[in-house]
Amino acid sequence: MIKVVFNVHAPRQNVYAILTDYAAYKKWVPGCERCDVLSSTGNVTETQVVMNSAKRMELTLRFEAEPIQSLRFRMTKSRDLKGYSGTYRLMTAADQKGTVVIAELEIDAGFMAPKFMVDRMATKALQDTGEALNGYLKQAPSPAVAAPQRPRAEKEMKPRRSKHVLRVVKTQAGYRVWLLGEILDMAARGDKPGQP
Amino acid sequence: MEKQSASVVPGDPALVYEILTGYEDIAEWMPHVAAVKLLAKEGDLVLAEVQMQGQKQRRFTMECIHSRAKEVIWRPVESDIPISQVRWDLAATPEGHCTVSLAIDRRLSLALFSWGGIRFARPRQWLRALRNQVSLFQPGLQLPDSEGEKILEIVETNEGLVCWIRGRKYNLVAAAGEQPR
Repeated sequence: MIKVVFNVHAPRQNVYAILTDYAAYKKWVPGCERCDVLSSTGNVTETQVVMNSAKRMELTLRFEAEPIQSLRFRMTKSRDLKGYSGTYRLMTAADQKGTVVIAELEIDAGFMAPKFMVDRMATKALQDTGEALNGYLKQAPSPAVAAPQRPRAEKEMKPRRSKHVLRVVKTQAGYRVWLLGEILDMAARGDKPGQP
Repeated sequence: MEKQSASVVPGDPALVYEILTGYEDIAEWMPHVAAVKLLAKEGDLVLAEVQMQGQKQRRFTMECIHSRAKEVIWRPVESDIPISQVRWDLAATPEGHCTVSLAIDRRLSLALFSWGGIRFARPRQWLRALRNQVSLFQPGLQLPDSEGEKILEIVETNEGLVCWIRGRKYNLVAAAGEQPR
């Protein structure tokens, strides 16, 4: 399973809306020649997709969406591939300015194509998809959806534990300095630590 | 290829968990890590971008999965880092400390040789660093063989940096416009 993380400069709702607009895939998904919706029930959609990048492939993909959270897809029929499945998982970026997408893709091309080569192509395909998605959003922005009010960050709300930074103790032998977990002994002038 | 190590850390599991999941502060204590940027956080899943020390271009995304005060798992995503998973298991000891078991799954990668990946994946070194970091948060900081007069103490608290000089408390205020060097 290949995993790629990319940032999309748009609210999560917009990203979800684009990812689930299957008929529009041909407008932005790299290598997508056609994407026809065959059936749709609730959040499950069956599509007929034609991809034309390294090789022209026709496959039937079933998409299962979990609104604004994730989109799973898996191949149900294809003459060219043995398996094709993956997920887009959406997370609101920590800076609240966009969406972080965790994209996973598994391609089984059978005996004819070595796995390392297929994995490399899958990685490239996911990275290109991330770029294309950002490009598509810039070019044809979907209606802005107000980002939900952000709850105050956990770090701000939680009281911080006290953290010791430095302690200096005057001992009989001189000074003992504790600095961020390390102890240093300093003798008084003319003395050596540990010597009377 | 899994490397394992375990150690009793003098702190409760909640504190150890807080340190392990405080991603923005991990560079403070984790060997060879220069900076960590939080990308996204949702429930028990966190995505963070890690930058290695001395390698400005060497960044990777890490997927972090937590189970409160019990388990922390880190998995690098799309990276040539020679680690496939890091797993920290936490268990309370009867004395109120925490047994930390660390397992690092290493994977074969050319990066093992090209950028000191071997040096990076050392469970014992990581556990030592964690123990040290935990010690900073101990409320009753004990210095071995340090009977004597407490001259100076600086503690980072909710109020900011607090300094005691011969028992007198001062609140330190950051100088405006000064950037950390």
